[in-house]
Amino acid sequence: MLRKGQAHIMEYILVSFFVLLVIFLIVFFLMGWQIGTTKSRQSVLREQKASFLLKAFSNSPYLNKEGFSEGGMLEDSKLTVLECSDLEELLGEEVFAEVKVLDSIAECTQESYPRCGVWTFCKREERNFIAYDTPVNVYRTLTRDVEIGILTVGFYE
Amino acid sequence: MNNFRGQASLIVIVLIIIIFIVVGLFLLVSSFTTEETEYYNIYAHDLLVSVMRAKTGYKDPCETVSDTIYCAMTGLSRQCKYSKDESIRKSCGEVADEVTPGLIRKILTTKPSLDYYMIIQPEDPEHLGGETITYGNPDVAKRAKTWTANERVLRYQTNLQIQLILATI
Repeated sequence: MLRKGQAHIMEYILVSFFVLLVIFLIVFFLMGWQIGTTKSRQSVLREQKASFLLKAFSNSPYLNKEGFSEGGMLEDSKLTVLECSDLEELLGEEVFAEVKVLDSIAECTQESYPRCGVWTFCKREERNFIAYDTPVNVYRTLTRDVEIGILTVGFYE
Repeated sequence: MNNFRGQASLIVIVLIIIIFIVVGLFLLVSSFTTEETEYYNIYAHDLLVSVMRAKTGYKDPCETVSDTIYCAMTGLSRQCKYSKDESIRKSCGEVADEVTPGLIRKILTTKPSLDYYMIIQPEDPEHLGGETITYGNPDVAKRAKTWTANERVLRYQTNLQIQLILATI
């Protein structure tokens, strides 16, 4: 009789232990999932922002050749006169951009234009950033040539 | 009877734990899925458009890549002069084969993990005997995860449908 009673108590203790274990697991799981989804959402929002900045730059009517409403035809003369403050006005603060014509290494300034093919705006060293790049056309105003470049646009964290 | 009841509750608890673990893993994995698909779709479209608009270095009818491809599909006998040395002449097909894959490969050097396949065909399959020009790796089209861009080259009589498929190597 005593043994049966003890067995019952043991059984209840065991069941209670498992019930508590399940409750703890549920709590830990919900916390972990919440943290995971928050991080993932943050990462998605960052990617969306980088993607938006890329599209905003490549489609900007201020930088594209007239007549190319769908964008992606950046005019070299417009890029040469663009300054960091203009870019910040266009896309917001803490952003940067680079346009690099394939095989070109010469940085474009008002002095080196048009024998150049790299334009950088608001680039700061040693800072964490998220950026996307995409191919674009660069229209050479003086020669009426159309070259291919890589546009990189991003923002600092 | 009591033993059986105890075992049954234990089994139920273990089952609940397993269900929670499985649901938890599924939710965690699904929440970590990134939104990179949108970016690669933009990339594929921009790659196709920028290559089509680029100048080839040859004169009319091969001024841009899209002109050259159109000429290669419709006027096989036409010749294009090289801008820097007019004594160099090539057919539209030769220029298209030389310039198009070369430009795409050059751009993709900045994304070495990507491979491509390009299909060019007349919009109306009855035109030009259904001829198709392809560049790149045909296996790309068979990959599970691909990003596709479509563009039309609009010309008098025959429009061309150009499809660019990107996939990771």
